[in-house]
Amino acid sequence: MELTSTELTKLKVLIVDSNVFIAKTLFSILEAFEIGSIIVCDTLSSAEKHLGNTELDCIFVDFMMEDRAGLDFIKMVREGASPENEQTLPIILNTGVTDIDTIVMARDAGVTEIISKPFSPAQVLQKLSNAINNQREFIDVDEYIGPNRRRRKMSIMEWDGENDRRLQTDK
Amino acid sequence: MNKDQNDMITRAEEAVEKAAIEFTANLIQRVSNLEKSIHNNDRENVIKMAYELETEAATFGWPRVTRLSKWLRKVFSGDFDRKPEAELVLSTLNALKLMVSDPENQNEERDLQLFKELYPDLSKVISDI
Repeated sequence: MELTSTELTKLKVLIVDSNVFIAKTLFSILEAFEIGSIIVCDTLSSAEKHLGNTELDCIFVDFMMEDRAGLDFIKMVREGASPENEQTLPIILNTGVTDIDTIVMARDAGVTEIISKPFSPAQVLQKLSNAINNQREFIDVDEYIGPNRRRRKMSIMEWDGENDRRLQTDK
Repeated sequence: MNKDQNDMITRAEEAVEKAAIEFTANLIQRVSNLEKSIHNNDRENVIKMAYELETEAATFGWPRVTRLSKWLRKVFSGDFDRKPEAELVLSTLNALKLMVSDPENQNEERDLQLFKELYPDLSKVISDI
């Protein structure tokens, strides 16, 4: 379900993109949605500072920035490095690189949604709404921290035996 | 979608349209800067500029410019299946220059034709193009 105008006005969003022009465009889209607060960072170090002292509702990040260090930034959020923000904070990857390796890398780093460029305002609204309103089960195990990577319910019986990794999440 | 949301989307689309005009206005200069960096063998700058051009062109509806920029980015990142001849890099650059030569009047048909001609050689270097 899409976010209502009232819900949008209450959101605090961080945009992390070294491409100032793309960041500005995304900012304009979110501004048109009347998002409560939008912070733009063009370096990962400034993004880390904001992450450490600002309570956020969502992050838009392009992980290709700074030689793919954006990926480490996503992992840092998922590992709970920020006292102000939960590990479950929705992260939307905003990328122009859509080859399968990149998508798998992003998914494995724990992104919530992926917006591939060209992005349209309708797509941004839909992904933002999905990331905030339809959060998937959060997995926290040794090999992976992030939203459940399975989106579809499979028409197979759920595992109910021992060693269910989902039960390790509450460690 | 209710009226509020429709209005919101319309406002956002207008903002994207403004950004697209700004992008188009600087396109020739951007490709020229990319060309200079290639000629100076400034690898780091080429990767950065090609990636920026790739993502912005994708955002503002220049699909062939996106793919040629992607090809250049991957070549200069060393992320290729086979090392390209210098001549192919120059041909790609020339195609890119032609595609943006009159940005106000984008010629989809010509750009597609140019891309089709280059594609067999480009895909030998990077299969995922």
